[in-house]
Amino acid sequence: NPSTCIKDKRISCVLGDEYAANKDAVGLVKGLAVTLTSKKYASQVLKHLTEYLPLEGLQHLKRVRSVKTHDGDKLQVLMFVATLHEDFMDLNKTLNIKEIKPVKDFIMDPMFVAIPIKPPLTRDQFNICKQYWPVSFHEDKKISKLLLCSLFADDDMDRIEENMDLAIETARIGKKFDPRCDQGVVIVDPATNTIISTAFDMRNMECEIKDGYFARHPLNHAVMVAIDLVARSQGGGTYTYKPFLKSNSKINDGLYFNSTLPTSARNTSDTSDKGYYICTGLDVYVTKEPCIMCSMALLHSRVRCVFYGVSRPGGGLGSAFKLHARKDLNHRFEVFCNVLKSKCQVL
Amino acid sequence: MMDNGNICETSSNISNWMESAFKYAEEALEHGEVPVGCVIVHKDTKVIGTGRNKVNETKNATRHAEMVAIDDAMCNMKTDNILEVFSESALYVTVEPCIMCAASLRSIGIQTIYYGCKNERFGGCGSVLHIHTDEALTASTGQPLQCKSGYYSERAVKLLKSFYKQENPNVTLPSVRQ
Ligand SMILES: [Zn+2]
Ligand SMILES: [Zn+2]
Repeated sequence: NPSTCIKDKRISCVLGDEYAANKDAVGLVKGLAVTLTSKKYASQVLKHLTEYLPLEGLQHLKRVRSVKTHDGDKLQVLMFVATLHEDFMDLNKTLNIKEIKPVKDFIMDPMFVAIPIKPPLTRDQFNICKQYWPVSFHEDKKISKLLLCSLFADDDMDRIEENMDLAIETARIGKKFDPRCDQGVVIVDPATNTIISTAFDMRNMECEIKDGYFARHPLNHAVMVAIDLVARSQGGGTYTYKPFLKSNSKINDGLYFNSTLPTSARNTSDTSDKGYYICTGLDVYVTKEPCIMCSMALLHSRVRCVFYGVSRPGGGLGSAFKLHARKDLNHRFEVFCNVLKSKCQVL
Repeated sequence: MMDNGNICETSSNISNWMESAFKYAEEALEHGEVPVGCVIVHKDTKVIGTGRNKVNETKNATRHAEMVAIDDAMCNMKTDNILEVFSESALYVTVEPCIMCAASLRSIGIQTIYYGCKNERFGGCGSVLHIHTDEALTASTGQPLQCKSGYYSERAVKLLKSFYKQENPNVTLPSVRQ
Protein backbone atom coordinates (compact mmCIF):
# COMPACT_ATOMS: atom_id res chain seq x y z
CA ASN A 1 0.00 0.00 0.00
CA PRO A 2 1.86 3.07 -1.24
CA SER A 3 -0.09 5.60 0.85
CA THR A 4 0.97 3.82 4.04
CA CYS A 5 4.57 4.00 2.93
CA ILE A 6 4.33 7.75 2.42
CA LYS A 7 2.71 8.16 5.82
CA ASP A 8 5.50 6.18 7.43
CA LYS A 9 7.86 8.91 6.36
CA ARG A 10 5.46 11.73 7.20
CA ILE A 11 4.98 11.08 10.90
CA SER A 12 6.02 8.83 13.79
CA CYS A 13 4.47 8.17 17.15
CA VAL A 14 6.40 8.74 20.40
CA LEU A 15 5.25 5.93 22.66
CA GLY A 16 6.26 5.27 26.25
CA ASP A 17 9.27 3.06 26.96
CA GLU A 18 6.97 0.18 27.89
CA TYR A 19 6.25 -0.23 24.16
CA ALA A 20 9.90 -0.44 23.12
CA ALA A 21 10.91 -3.49 21.10
CA ASN A 22 13.65 -4.69 23.43
CA LYS A 23 14.33 -7.16 26.25
CA ASP A 24 14.03 -4.48 28.95
CA ALA A 25 10.44 -3.76 28.01
CA VAL A 26 9.32 -7.39 28.37
CA GLY A 27 11.40 -7.89 31.54
CA LEU A 28 13.08 -11.28 31.80
CA VAL A 29 13.00 -13.16 35.12
CA LYS A 30 14.13 -16.60 36.19
CA GLY A 31 11.74 -19.50 35.85
CA LEU A 32 12.06 -23.19 36.65
CA ALA A 33 10.89 -25.73 34.07
CA VAL A 34 10.74 -29.53 34.06
CA THR A 35 10.40 -32.07 31.27
CA LEU A 36 7.51 -34.53 31.22
CA THR A 37 8.60 -38.15 31.15
CA SER A 38 5.85 -38.73 28.61
CA LYS A 39 3.47 -36.47 26.72
CA LYS A 40 0.55 -38.54 27.92
CA TYR A 41 0.81 -37.04 31.41
CA ALA A 42 0.42 -33.50 30.14
CA SER A 43 -3.24 -32.94 31.00
CA GLN A 44 -2.89 -34.55 34.40
CA VAL A 45 0.16 -32.44 35.34
CA LEU A 46 -1.37 -29.22 34.01
CA LYS A 47 -4.61 -29.79 35.89
CA HIS A 48 -2.63 -30.24 39.07
CA LEU A 49 -0.49 -27.15 38.51
CA THR A 50 -3.47 -24.97 37.65
CA GLU A 51 -5.03 -25.91 40.95
CA TYR A 52 -2.04 -25.96 43.29
CA LEU A 53 0.55 -23.70 41.67
CA PRO A 54 -1.34 -21.16 39.54
CA LEU A 55 0.67 -18.41 37.82
CA GLU A 56 -1.43 -15.65 39.26
CA GLY A 57 -1.25 -12.37 37.37
CA LEU A 58 0.85 -13.95 34.63
CA GLN A 59 -1.96 -15.05 32.35
CA HIS A 60 0.12 -14.27 29.26
CA LEU A 61 2.49 -17.19 30.02
CA LYS A 62 1.80 -20.55 28.41
CA ARG A 63 2.50 -23.37 30.81
CA VAL A 64 3.87 -25.87 28.29
CA ARG A 65 6.23 -25.82 25.35
CA SER A 66 7.59 -28.56 23.18
CA VAL A 67 11.35 -29.05 23.02
CA LYS A 68 13.58 -31.23 20.91
CA THR A 69 15.83 -33.54 22.87
CA HIS A 70 18.19 -36.35 21.88
CA ASP A 71 15.30 -38.54 22.97
CA GLY A 72 12.86 -36.98 20.50
CA ASP A 73 10.21 -34.28 21.02
CA LYS A 74 9.30 -33.71 24.63
CA LEU A 75 7.00 -31.37 26.55
CA GLN A 76 8.51 -28.92 28.96
CA VAL A 77 6.36 -27.42 31.72
CA LEU A 78 6.88 -24.13 33.54
CA MET A 79 6.67 -24.93 37.24
CA PHE A 80 7.75 -21.77 39.04
CA VAL A 81 8.46 -18.12 38.29
CA ALA A 82 10.92 -16.29 40.53
CA THR A 83 8.61 -13.34 41.19
CA LEU A 84 5.84 -15.65 42.46
CA HIS A 85 7.70 -18.62 43.93
CA GLU A 86 10.90 -17.21 45.34
CA ASP A 87 11.29 -20.12 47.79
CA PHE A 88 11.00 -22.84 45.17
CA MET A 89 13.83 -21.75 42.90
CA ASP A 90 16.12 -24.63 43.81
CA LEU A 91 16.91 -27.26 41.22
CA ASN A 92 17.64 -29.98 43.81
CA LYS A 93 14.92 -29.47 46.37
CA THR A 94 12.12 -28.32 44.17
CA LEU A 95 10.83 -31.75 43.12
CA ASN A 96 10.32 -32.74 46.73
CA ILE A 97 7.98 -29.97 47.84
CA LYS A 98 4.52 -31.10 48.82
CA GLU A 99 2.73 -29.25 45.99
CA ILE A 100 4.71 -31.34 43.49
CA LYS A 101 4.61 -34.77 45.13
CA PRO A 102 1.40 -36.00 43.40
CA VAL A 103 2.95 -35.43 39.93
CA LYS A 104 6.57 -36.07 40.84
CA ASP A 105 6.81 -39.35 38.94
CA PHE A 106 5.81 -37.70 35.64
CA ILE A 107 8.52 -35.04 35.60
CA MET A 108 12.30 -34.89 35.29
CA ASP A 109 15.27 -32.66 34.40
CA PRO A 110 14.51 -29.45 36.28
CA MET A 111 16.22 -26.47 34.65
CA PHE A 112 16.22 -22.70 34.76
CA VAL A 113 14.60 -20.77 31.91
CA ALA A 114 14.17 -17.05 31.14
CA ILE A 115 10.55 -15.90 31.43
CA PRO A 116 9.16 -12.64 29.96
CA ILE A 117 7.37 -11.24 32.98
CA LYS A 118 5.32 -8.54 31.21
CA PRO A 119 2.63 -9.36 28.65
CA PRO A 120 3.72 -8.25 25.16
CA LEU A 121 2.11 -4.94 24.15
CA THR A 122 3.19 -5.02 20.52
CA ARG A 123 3.82 -7.61 17.85
CA ASP A 124 7.57 -6.93 18.04
CA GLN A 125 7.53 -7.56 21.78
CA PHE A 126 5.54 -10.75 21.14
CA ASN A 127 8.29 -11.95 18.83
CA ILE A 128 10.94 -11.15 21.43
CA CYS A 129 9.00 -12.99 24.17
CA LYS A 130 8.61 -16.10 22.02
CA GLN A 131 12.38 -16.50 21.80
CA TYR A 132 12.37 -17.18 25.55
CA TRP A 133 9.04 -18.77 26.44
CA PRO A 134 5.68 -19.07 24.62
CA VAL A 135 3.19 -16.35 25.53
CA SER A 136 -0.18 -15.24 24.31
CA PHE A 137 -0.64 -11.82 22.66
CA HIS A 138 -3.77 -9.70 22.61
CA GLU A 139 -3.25 -7.08 19.99
CA ASP A 140 -4.27 -3.51 20.86
CA LYS A 141 -5.49 -2.27 17.48
CA LYS A 142 -4.90 1.36 18.30
CA ILE A 143 -1.30 0.78 19.41
CA SER A 144 -0.62 -1.24 16.26
CA LYS A 145 -1.95 1.59 14.15
CA LEU A 146 0.15 4.11 16.07
CA LEU A 147 3.25 2.00 15.52
CA LEU A 148 2.54 1.67 11.83
CA CYS A 149 1.51 5.34 11.73
CA SER A 150 -1.62 4.36 9.89
CA LEU A 151 -3.87 5.99 12.46
CA PHE A 152 -4.42 9.00 10.25
CA ALA A 153 -6.25 8.97 6.95
CA ASP A 154 -4.76 10.96 4.09
CA ASP A 155 -6.95 14.00 4.68
CA ASP A 156 -6.08 13.92 8.41
CA MET A 157 -2.41 13.97 7.42
CA ASP A 158 -2.98 16.90 5.09
CA ARG A 159 -4.66 18.83 7.88
CA ILE A 160 -1.82 17.97 10.31
CA GLU A 161 0.76 19.23 7.82
CA GLU A 162 -1.25 22.37 7.13
CA ASN A 163 -1.22 23.19 10.82
CA MET A 164 2.51 22.46 11.06
CA ASP A 165 3.08 24.68 8.04
CA LEU A 166 1.42 27.48 9.95
CA ALA A 167 3.71 26.78 12.95
CA ILE A 168 6.72 27.02 10.59
CA GLU A 169 5.38 30.25 9.12
CA THR A 170 4.87 31.58 12.65
CA ALA A 171 8.52 30.80 13.54
CA ARG A 172 9.61 32.62 10.37
CA ILE A 173 7.66 35.72 11.40
CA GLY A 174 9.45 35.54 14.77
CA LYS A 175 12.77 35.31 12.92
CA LYS A 176 12.13 38.72 11.39
CA PHE A 177 12.16 40.20 14.91
CA ASP A 178 15.12 38.14 16.07
CA PRO A 179 17.17 35.73 13.96
CA ARG A 180 17.64 33.39 16.93
CA CYS A 181 13.92 32.57 16.95
CA ASP A 182 13.58 28.97 15.77
CA GLN A 183 10.35 27.84 17.38
CA GLY A 184 6.76 28.33 16.26
CA VAL A 185 3.61 26.96 17.89
CA VAL A 186 0.00 26.60 16.78
CA ILE A 187 -2.78 25.45 19.12
CA VAL A 188 -5.87 24.05 17.44
CA ASP A 189 -9.27 22.81 18.50
CA PRO A 190 -9.49 19.58 16.49
CA ALA A 191 -13.24 19.29 16.97
CA THR A 192 -13.78 22.28 14.68
CA ASN A 193 -10.26 22.67 13.24
CA THR A 194 -10.22 26.20 14.66
CA ILE A 195 -6.91 27.92 15.40
CA ILE A 196 -6.98 29.09 19.03
CA SER A 197 -3.52 30.67 19.24
CA THR A 198 -0.17 30.99 17.50
CA ALA A 199 3.16 32.07 19.00
CA PHE A 200 6.90 32.21 18.37
CA ASP A 201 9.88 32.09 20.72
CA MET A 202 10.11 35.54 22.37
CA ARG A 203 13.09 35.03 24.68
CA ASN A 204 15.18 37.54 22.77
CA MET A 205 12.46 40.12 22.20
CA GLU A 206 11.66 42.99 24.51
CA CYS A 207 8.00 42.88 25.38
CA GLU A 208 5.81 44.08 28.19
CA ILE A 209 6.17 42.03 31.38
CA LYS A 210 3.89 44.12 33.59
CA ASP A 211 2.62 47.69 33.90
CA GLY A 212 4.74 49.26 31.19
CA TYR A 213 7.95 47.43 32.05
CA PHE A 214 9.49 45.93 28.93
CA ALA A 215 12.20 43.27 28.99
CA ARG A 216 13.44 40.06 27.41
CA HIS A 217 11.81 37.30 29.39
CA PRO A 218 14.01 34.18 29.58
CA LEU A 219 10.93 31.97 29.99
CA ASN A 220 8.92 33.32 27.04
CA HIS A 221 9.35 30.10 25.08
CA ALA A 222 6.91 29.77 22.19
CA VAL A 223 4.85 27.08 23.96
CA MET A 224 4.45 29.20 27.12
CA VAL A 225 3.32 32.17 25.03
CA ALA A 226 0.87 30.03 23.05
CA ILE A 227 -0.67 28.60 26.24
CA ASP A 228 -1.06 32.09 27.70
CA LEU A 229 -2.75 33.21 24.50
CA VAL A 230 -5.23 30.32 24.77
CA ALA A 231 -6.00 31.64 28.27
CA ARG A 232 -6.41 35.08 26.73
CA SER A 233 -8.93 33.69 24.25
CA GLN A 234 -10.99 32.60 27.25
CA GLY A 235 -10.84 35.97 29.00
CA GLY A 236 -7.72 35.19 31.03
CA GLY A 237 -4.01 35.40 30.27
CA THR A 238 -1.05 37.05 31.97
CA TYR A 239 0.82 39.21 29.46
CA THR A 240 -0.06 41.86 26.89
CA TYR A 241 2.90 40.85 24.65
CA LYS A 242 3.10 44.49 23.57
CA PRO A 243 4.33 45.56 21.07
CA PHE A 244 4.21 42.21 19.24
CA LEU A 245 0.57 41.31 19.76
CA LYS A 246 -1.76 43.49 17.73
CA SER A 247 -5.15 44.38 19.15
CA ASN A 248 -6.87 42.80 16.18
CA SER A 249 -4.38 40.06 15.51
CA LYS A 250 -4.87 37.72 12.58
CA ILE A 251 -3.69 34.16 12.19
CA ASN A 252 -0.77 35.12 9.94
CA ASP A 253 0.57 37.80 12.28
CA GLY A 254 2.74 35.38 14.27
CA LEU A 255 1.24 36.13 17.67
CA TYR A 256 -2.47 35.45 17.58
CA PHE A 257 -5.32 34.48 19.83
CA ASN A 258 -8.84 33.72 18.75
CA SER A 259 -11.01 36.48 20.20
CA THR A 260 -14.23 35.25 18.67
CA LEU A 261 -14.73 32.30 21.00
CA PRO A 262 -17.46 32.63 23.59
CA THR A 263 -15.81 32.01 26.97
CA SER A 264 -18.36 29.35 27.70
CA ALA A 265 -17.68 27.56 24.42
CA ARG A 266 -15.39 25.02 25.95
CA ASN A 267 -15.68 23.20 29.21
CA THR A 268 -12.25 24.00 30.55
CA SER A 269 -12.61 23.91 34.30
CA ASP A 270 -12.78 20.53 35.88
CA THR A 271 -14.77 20.90 39.05
CA SER A 272 -13.49 17.69 40.62
CA ASP A 273 -10.09 19.29 41.19
CA LYS A 274 -10.35 23.04 41.04
CA GLY A 275 -8.12 24.53 38.41
CA TYR A 276 -8.14 25.69 34.85
CA TYR A 277 -7.10 23.13 32.30
CA ILE A 278 -7.45 25.54 29.48
CA CYS A 279 -6.13 23.26 26.75
CA THR A 280 -8.36 20.25 27.46
CA GLY A 281 -9.06 18.62 24.11
CA LEU A 282 -6.69 20.88 22.14
CA ASP A 283 -3.90 19.82 19.76
CA VAL A 284 -0.51 21.53 19.71
CA TYR A 285 1.81 21.90 16.71
CA VAL A 286 5.36 22.87 17.52
CA THR A 287 8.33 23.01 15.15
CA LYS A 288 10.89 21.64 17.67
CA GLU A 289 10.36 19.23 20.54
CA PRO A 290 9.37 21.23 23.64
CA CYS A 291 11.88 21.55 26.51
CA ILE A 292 11.07 20.05 29.95
CA MET A 293 9.42 23.24 31.19
CA CYS A 294 7.21 23.56 28.12
CA SER A 295 6.39 19.83 28.05
CA MET A 296 5.22 19.96 31.64
CA ALA A 297 3.31 23.18 30.92
CA LEU A 298 1.42 21.30 28.18
CA LEU A 299 0.73 18.47 30.62
CA HIS A 300 -0.55 20.91 33.27
CA SER A 301 -2.79 22.42 30.58
CA ARG A 302 -4.14 18.95 29.68
CA VAL A 303 -3.59 19.06 25.93
CA ARG A 304 -4.96 16.21 23.83
CA CYS A 305 -2.11 15.70 21.41
CA VAL A 306 1.25 17.24 20.44
CA PHE A 307 2.83 17.15 16.96
CA TYR A 308 6.42 18.26 16.56
CA GLY A 309 8.91 18.49 13.73
CA VAL A 310 12.39 17.77 15.08
CA SER A 311 13.71 16.27 18.29
CA ARG A 312 16.22 18.08 20.45
CA PRO A 313 18.60 17.18 23.28
CA GLY A 314 16.93 17.75 26.63
CA GLY A 315 13.43 17.57 25.10
CA GLY A 316 10.56 16.45 27.32
CA LEU A 317 8.44 14.51 24.82
CA GLY A 318 10.76 11.78 23.61
CA SER A 319 14.41 12.81 24.02
CA ALA A 320 15.39 13.31 27.67
CA PHE A 321 11.96 12.33 29.02
CA LYS A 322 8.60 11.12 27.79
CA LEU A 323 6.49 13.17 30.18
CA HIS A 324 3.34 12.51 28.13
CA ALA A 325 3.54 8.75 28.72
CA ARG A 326 4.27 8.56 32.45
CA LYS A 327 1.80 6.70 34.61
CA ASP A 328 2.92 8.62 37.71
CA LEU A 329 1.71 11.95 36.32
CA ASN A 330 -1.99 12.75 36.25
CA HIS A 331 -2.49 13.38 32.54
CA ARG A 332 -1.32 11.53 29.47
CA PHE A 333 -1.46 12.58 25.83
CA GLU A 334 -0.34 11.38 22.44
CA VAL A 335 2.80 12.71 20.80
CA PHE A 336 3.87 12.48 17.16
CA CYS A 337 7.21 13.60 15.75
CA ASN A 338 8.88 14.08 12.37
CA VAL A 339 5.98 16.18 11.08
CA LEU A 340 7.45 18.19 8.15
CA LYS A 341 10.80 17.36 9.70
CA SER A 342 13.10 18.72 7.01
CA LYS A 343 11.24 22.03 6.85
CA CYS A 344 11.39 22.37 10.64
CA GLN A 345 15.07 21.45 10.69
CA VAL A 346 16.18 24.42 8.63
CA LEU A 347 14.45 27.02 10.80
CA MET B 1 12.40 26.91 64.81
CA MET B 2 11.69 24.19 62.29
CA ASP B 3 9.18 21.43 62.51
CA ASN B 4 11.50 18.85 61.09
CA GLY B 5 14.28 17.29 63.12
CA ASN B 6 16.62 16.34 60.29
CA ILE B 7 17.41 19.87 59.16
CA CYS B 8 20.74 21.10 60.48
CA GLU B 9 20.73 24.45 58.67
CA THR B 10 20.69 27.11 61.38
CA SER B 11 20.44 30.44 59.57
CA SER B 12 17.66 32.29 61.34
CA ASN B 13 17.05 34.05 58.03
CA ILE B 14 15.67 30.88 56.47
CA SER B 15 12.76 30.81 58.86
CA ASN B 16 12.06 34.48 58.19
CA TRP B 17 12.03 33.98 54.43
CA MET B 18 9.90 30.84 54.75
CA GLU B 19 7.52 32.78 56.97
CA SER B 20 6.94 35.32 54.21
CA ALA B 21 6.51 32.55 51.64
CA PHE B 22 3.69 31.21 53.81
CA LYS B 23 2.06 34.64 53.80
CA TYR B 24 1.67 34.33 50.02
CA ALA B 25 0.47 30.73 50.26
CA GLU B 26 -2.25 31.87 52.65
CA GLU B 27 -3.15 34.69 50.29
CA ALA B 28 -3.54 32.10 47.51
CA LEU B 29 -5.93 30.11 49.67
CA GLU B 30 -8.03 33.22 50.35
CA HIS B 31 -8.30 33.69 46.58
CA GLY B 32 -9.39 30.11 45.94
CA GLU B 33 -6.05 29.07 44.46
CA VAL B 34 -3.90 26.07 45.39
CA PRO B 35 -2.07 27.46 48.45
CA VAL B 36 1.55 27.66 47.38
CA GLY B 37 3.61 30.79 47.98
CA CYS B 38 7.21 31.83 47.48
CA VAL B 39 9.74 34.63 47.75
CA ILE B 40 12.97 35.23 45.86
CA VAL B 41 15.72 36.61 48.10
CA HIS B 42 18.82 38.37 46.79
CA LYS B 43 22.08 37.69 48.66
CA ASP B 44 20.16 36.57 51.74
CA THR B 45 19.28 40.18 52.47
CA LYS B 46 16.42 41.44 50.35
CA VAL B 47 13.17 40.03 48.96
CA ILE B 48 13.17 40.95 45.26
CA GLY B 49 10.14 38.97 44.13
CA THR B 50 7.07 37.32 45.61
CA GLY B 51 4.44 35.04 44.16
CA ARG B 52 1.46 32.82 44.78
CA ASN B 53 -0.53 30.55 42.50
CA LYS B 54 -2.68 32.43 39.98
CA VAL B 55 -3.94 29.55 37.88
CA ASN B 56 -7.64 30.32 38.24
CA GLU B 57 -7.25 34.06 38.09
CA THR B 58 -5.37 33.90 34.78
CA LYS B 59 -7.10 30.75 33.45
CA ASN B 60 -3.55 29.57 32.76
CA ALA B 61 -2.48 26.28 34.36
CA THR B 62 1.18 27.35 34.28
CA ARG B 63 0.85 30.36 36.57
CA HIS B 64 2.44 28.73 39.58
CA ALA B 65 3.82 30.77 42.48
CA GLU B 66 7.41 30.40 41.20
CA MET B 67 6.59 31.70 37.71
CA VAL B 68 4.69 34.65 39.20
CA ALA B 69 7.63 35.46 41.51
CA ILE B 70 10.14 35.38 38.63
CA ASP B 71 8.09 38.04 36.81
CA ASP B 72 7.78 40.08 39.98
CA ALA B 73 11.55 40.01 40.50
CA MET B 74 12.13 41.10 36.89
CA CYS B 75 9.77 44.04 37.30
CA ASN B 76 11.24 45.08 40.63
CA MET B 77 14.88 44.86 39.56
CA LYS B 78 14.47 46.36 36.08
CA THR B 79 17.96 45.31 35.07
CA ASP B 80 19.40 44.20 31.76
CA ASN B 81 21.22 41.42 33.54
CA ILE B 82 18.48 39.67 35.45
CA LEU B 83 20.26 36.30 35.12
CA GLU B 84 23.15 37.63 37.20
CA VAL B 85 20.68 38.70 39.89
CA PHE B 86 19.04 35.25 39.85
CA SER B 87 22.44 33.57 40.19
CA GLU B 88 22.87 35.43 43.49
CA SER B 89 19.36 34.66 44.70
CA ALA B 90 17.55 31.89 46.55
CA LEU B 91 13.92 30.84 46.24
CA TYR B 92 11.90 29.99 49.33
CA VAL B 93 8.72 28.10 48.48
CA THR B 94 6.18 26.30 50.65
CA VAL B 95 5.87 23.23 48.37
CA GLU B 96 8.47 21.43 46.24
CA PRO B 97 8.56 22.99 42.76
CA CYS B 98 6.83 20.93 40.06
CA ILE B 99 8.67 19.56 37.03
CA MET B 100 7.88 22.69 35.01
CA CYS B 101 9.00 25.12 37.69
CA ALA B 102 12.11 23.07 38.54
CA ALA B 103 13.14 23.26 34.87
CA SER B 104 12.44 26.99 34.66
CA LEU B 105 14.30 27.77 37.90
CA ARG B 106 17.29 25.71 36.79
CA SER B 107 17.31 27.39 33.39
CA ILE B 108 17.40 30.90 34.87
CA GLY B 109 20.17 29.80 37.25
CA ILE B 110 18.63 30.37 40.68
CA GLN B 111 21.32 29.64 43.28
CA THR B 112 19.40 27.56 45.86
CA ILE B 113 15.84 26.44 46.52
CA TYR B 114 14.47 25.96 50.01
CA TYR B 115 11.11 24.24 50.13
CA GLY B 116 8.57 22.96 52.61
CA CYS B 117 6.68 19.77 51.83
CA LYS B 118 7.16 17.28 49.03
CA ASN B 119 5.00 17.44 45.91
CA GLU B 120 4.17 13.78 45.34
CA ARG B 121 2.06 14.48 42.25
CA PHE B 122 4.37 16.70 40.18
CA GLY B 123 7.57 17.27 42.15
CA GLY B 124 10.56 18.01 39.95
CA CYS B 125 13.13 18.20 42.78
CA GLY B 126 13.15 14.55 43.74
CA SER B 127 9.57 13.36 44.26
CA VAL B 128 8.63 12.39 40.69
CA LEU B 129 11.77 13.42 38.78
CA HIS B 130 15.17 14.88 39.61
CA ILE B 131 15.03 17.79 37.20
CA HIS B 132 17.12 19.90 39.60
CA THR B 133 20.19 17.63 39.45
CA ASP B 134 19.86 15.42 36.34
CA GLU B 135 23.33 15.50 34.73
CA ALA B 136 21.89 14.81 31.29
CA LEU B 137 20.11 18.17 31.33
CA THR B 138 23.15 20.38 31.93
CA ALA B 139 23.64 21.27 28.26
CA SER B 140 19.97 22.11 27.69
CA THR B 141 18.80 23.39 31.08
CA GLY B 142 21.92 24.70 32.82
CA GLN B 143 23.95 23.82 35.89
CA PRO B 144 22.35 21.60 38.58
CA LEU B 145 20.18 23.38 41.11
CA GLN B 146 20.77 23.11 44.86
CA CYS B 147 17.66 22.11 46.80
CA LYS B 148 17.04 21.93 50.53
CA SER B 149 13.79 20.56 51.81
CA GLY B 150 11.70 19.98 54.89
CA TYR B 151 11.16 23.53 56.14
CA TYR B 152 7.80 23.69 57.92
CA SER B 153 6.55 20.82 55.78
CA GLU B 154 3.66 19.98 58.11
CA ARG B 155 2.41 23.54 57.94
CA ALA B 156 2.57 23.46 54.14
CA VAL B 157 0.67 20.16 54.01
CA LYS B 158 -1.96 21.49 56.39
CA LEU B 159 -2.56 24.42 54.07
CA LEU B 160 -2.90 22.15 51.03
CA LYS B 161 -5.24 19.88 52.94
CA SER B 162 -7.51 22.75 53.88
CA PHE B 163 -7.71 23.68 50.20
CA TYR B 164 -8.40 20.20 48.85
CA LYS B 165 -10.84 19.38 51.63
CA GLN B 166 -13.15 22.18 50.54
CA GLU B 167 -12.81 21.02 46.94
CA ASN B 168 -13.01 17.28 47.23
CA PRO B 169 -12.85 15.35 50.48
CA ASN B 170 -11.58 12.20 48.74
CA VAL B 171 -8.55 13.68 47.05
CA THR B 172 -5.16 12.08 47.72
CA LEU B 173 -2.97 14.38 49.74
CA PRO B 174 0.74 14.94 49.59
CA SER B 175 2.56 13.49 52.55
CA VAL B 176 5.28 14.94 54.76
CA ARG B 177 7.49 11.93 54.15
CA GLN B 178 11.17 12.84 53.86
ZN1 LIG C 1 10.49 25.50 26.35
ZN1 LIG D 1 5.15 24.55 39.25
